[in-house]
Amino acid sequence: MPTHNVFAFHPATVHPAPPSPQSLARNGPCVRVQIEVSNVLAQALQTANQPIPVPVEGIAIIDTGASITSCDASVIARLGINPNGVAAVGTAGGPQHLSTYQARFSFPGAPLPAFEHPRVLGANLSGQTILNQEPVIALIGRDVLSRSVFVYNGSAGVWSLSF
Amino acid sequence: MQLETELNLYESIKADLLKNHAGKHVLIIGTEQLGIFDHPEEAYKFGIENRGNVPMLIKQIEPNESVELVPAMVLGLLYAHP
Repeated sequence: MPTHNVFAFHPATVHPAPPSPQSLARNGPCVRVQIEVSNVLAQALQTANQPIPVPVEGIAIIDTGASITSCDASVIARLGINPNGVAAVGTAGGPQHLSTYQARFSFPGAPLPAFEHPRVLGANLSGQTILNQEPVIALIGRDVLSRSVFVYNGSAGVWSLSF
Repeated sequence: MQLETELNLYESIKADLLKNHAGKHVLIIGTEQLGIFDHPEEAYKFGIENRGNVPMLIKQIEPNESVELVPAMVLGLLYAHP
C-alpha cells in the first residue's frame, strides 16, 4: 500500500528545517489532485470521435468532517460530465438535493493510486485557494477515507495517507 | 432540479424495488428503468455504453434516504472571509 507522507513547512522556511505544526494547522492536509472523466466515459467519447476533456488540476483538502467527497461544480462543467444521481445533503433548512457525478481522481507527484469515484458531490468551491493561491477543487471525504489509512500528527506537523 | 423525472419514477416503483432488490442499485434514464446492478459503477458503465453521456439516476434501493454531511460547505465556512 503506497503511502503519501507530507511534512508541513512554513513558507519562509530554509530547508532543512523541522515541520511546522502551525503551517499544517493553517492549511490542513492538502494534496495536488487531477480530476478527469471516468475511463468508461473517455472510451465512449473516443468511440464517438469526440474530444476527451482535458483533466483539471488543483488542490484537494482532506475533510474528515465530510461524509461524501465533493468537487467544484465548475470543474465538473469543464469536463462535461452529466449527473449520475442525487445526494441529500443536510443543511440548517433540512436536506437539499445536489447532483452527483462519476469522476476519476489521480494525484500527480504523490505515490497514491488513481481511482474512479462513482459518487462525487457537485459543490460550489469557487474562490477557495490555498498554499500559493492554488484553487481548491475537491474535498476528500470519509467515503474515500473509508478505504484508506489517514494519519494526522498535528504536533509534529506531519500527515500521511495510504490506500 | 435535475433528474426530477427519474426521481419521480423511482418513488413510484420504490415499494416494488424494495421488495425484490433491496440494497442493489437501479438505473433510470428519463422514464425508463434500465436495470438493477450490484455496484453503481456497473450501472454507470451500462448507461454510458447504451445511452451515451446523458443525465442518469443511479440510486441504491433502500427504505430511507441517507443524508450526507459536509459541514464546511453547509455552514458556509468555505466563505468565511472578512
